[in-house]
Amino acid sequence: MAYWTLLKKELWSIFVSPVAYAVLTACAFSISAIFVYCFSAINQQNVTSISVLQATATLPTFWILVMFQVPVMTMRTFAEEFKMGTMEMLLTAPIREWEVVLAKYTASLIFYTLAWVPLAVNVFYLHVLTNPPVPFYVWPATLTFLAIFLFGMFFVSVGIFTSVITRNQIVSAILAFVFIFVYFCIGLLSYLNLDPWKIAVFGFSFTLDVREIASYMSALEHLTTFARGIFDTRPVVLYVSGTMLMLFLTQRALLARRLQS
Amino acid sequence: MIDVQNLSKSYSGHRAIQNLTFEVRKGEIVGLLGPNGAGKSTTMRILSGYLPPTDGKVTIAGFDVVTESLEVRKRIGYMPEKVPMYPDMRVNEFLRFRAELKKIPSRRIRARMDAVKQLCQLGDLERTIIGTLSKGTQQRVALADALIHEPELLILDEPTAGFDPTQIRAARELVKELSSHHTILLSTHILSEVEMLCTRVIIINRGRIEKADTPQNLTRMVRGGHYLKLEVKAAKEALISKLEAVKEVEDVEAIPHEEGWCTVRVYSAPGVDVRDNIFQTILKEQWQLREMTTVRATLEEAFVELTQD
Repeated sequence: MAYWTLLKKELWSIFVSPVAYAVLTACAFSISAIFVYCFSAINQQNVTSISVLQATATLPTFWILVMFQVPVMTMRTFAEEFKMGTMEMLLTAPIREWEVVLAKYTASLIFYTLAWVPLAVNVFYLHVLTNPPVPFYVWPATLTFLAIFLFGMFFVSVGIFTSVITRNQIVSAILAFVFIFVYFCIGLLSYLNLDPWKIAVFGFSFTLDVREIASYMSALEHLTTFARGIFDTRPVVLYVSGTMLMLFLTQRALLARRLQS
Repeated sequence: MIDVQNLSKSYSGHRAIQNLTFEVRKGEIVGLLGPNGAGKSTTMRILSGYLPPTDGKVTIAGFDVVTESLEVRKRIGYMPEKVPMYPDMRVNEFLRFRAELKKIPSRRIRARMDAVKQLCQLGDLERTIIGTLSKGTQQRVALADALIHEPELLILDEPTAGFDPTQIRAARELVKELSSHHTILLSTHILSEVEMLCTRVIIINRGRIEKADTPQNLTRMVRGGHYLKLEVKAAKEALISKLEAVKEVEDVEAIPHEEGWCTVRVYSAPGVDVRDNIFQTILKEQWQLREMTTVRATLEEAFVELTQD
């Protein structure tokens, strides 16, 4: 299947470039710094209510890292092919648009996942190197990584979409950053004390609970819930369907760009 | 092999090509000629399945380029005008990637890669990074890519654009060689190439077909492009009056120069040979003759005449 050939080539083009290693190093350094900072803060203040991993995941710096990391990883995918003109060569081979979209998406998701390996290594070392060992809770830790993967899955698909609608990598990165930033900020509305809005349209009246919607969409809340060891299927449905929507839009946009070229 | 019916393409209101109708039969080498912006690349992009037509129907090997695009793409080798490449890939890596993409069975990939590398003279460059190659060499890589899956039809958009004269000659030999197995549609600016290679030429201008014929017929159509050139020692007036009287001669021009010699141009209808009659007249008049040549218009002249305003 052309998908595997394309995926292999996408992974190759990511990892043949020194940029990938610079990004991975920067991510490893930042996430480890955040982890160590949380560990020493918890240690000094003798906090027992949350784990280091939980503290790491709720720190604003952690979210700033996510907001920068994803656009940098996805900005090249389509924008570069359009700029170099290789898209014409690619799409005159007997392959389908969705195979290209899926291959580029999977490669970026693998790149994203790799960037989080240092966090797992940190958790592991904290458990191994301390005496007496810091307790390690498998289920909450697994769920934390699952949450990071889930919203990453969605954000990467957003990044892929912003890359297909522009020819310029920087514009693509900025658009993806803005989207993720706005999405994150919507989630923050759940912490405000907003009254439900009563809306009446053409005789129909309903209440719009902004707080509830914001809390349903809040990536921060999803991560904290999962980090506490509570598995909730709603975020899974949200992110999987969000990803599918973005990939569908990407495929349509790719088709539209080809038809307009 | 290619059947194009009333093909039109508009870009946001501007009609790039309108009502093109032509066909290319199996085994032909057809040249698509036209000034820049005439719609050659657009036509080729539609044939390759990359762009959909606004109107009209194109079938390649019996498959519709819009509804059966995948089948069409399996059967064509397309080389775009601006050979875009992945600059970080090595020649070998690129060819393997393209071979896999074009679904060549894995056991045959090695053999196909060797074959196209030999055809396109890339043997000693297989480990070179594409970005470091010259434009002409990159084009050879693109041609190798177009050939790798043994397509029935080759669509080559200005294949010799970045070549030096030696490479052009090599490319001409290569295209001749390829024509035994492939049907070829190519566009180029080098008209001497077309004259030597193509069995048929389609000249398009401003999105319309001006003429489609063999290169020989096209050159014959050029006004004043076919004449007999003579150098005769005689008086200008006598020459004109006697030669114009010769059967089937349409017009005579004479330019006198040194020592009583005249350069004469004798025009006749296309396809008519007046050499014998002219020679007999000269003998009868006992004029001295030191040159008699048939001058034919080049395809370049035909092209300019057909495409100028």
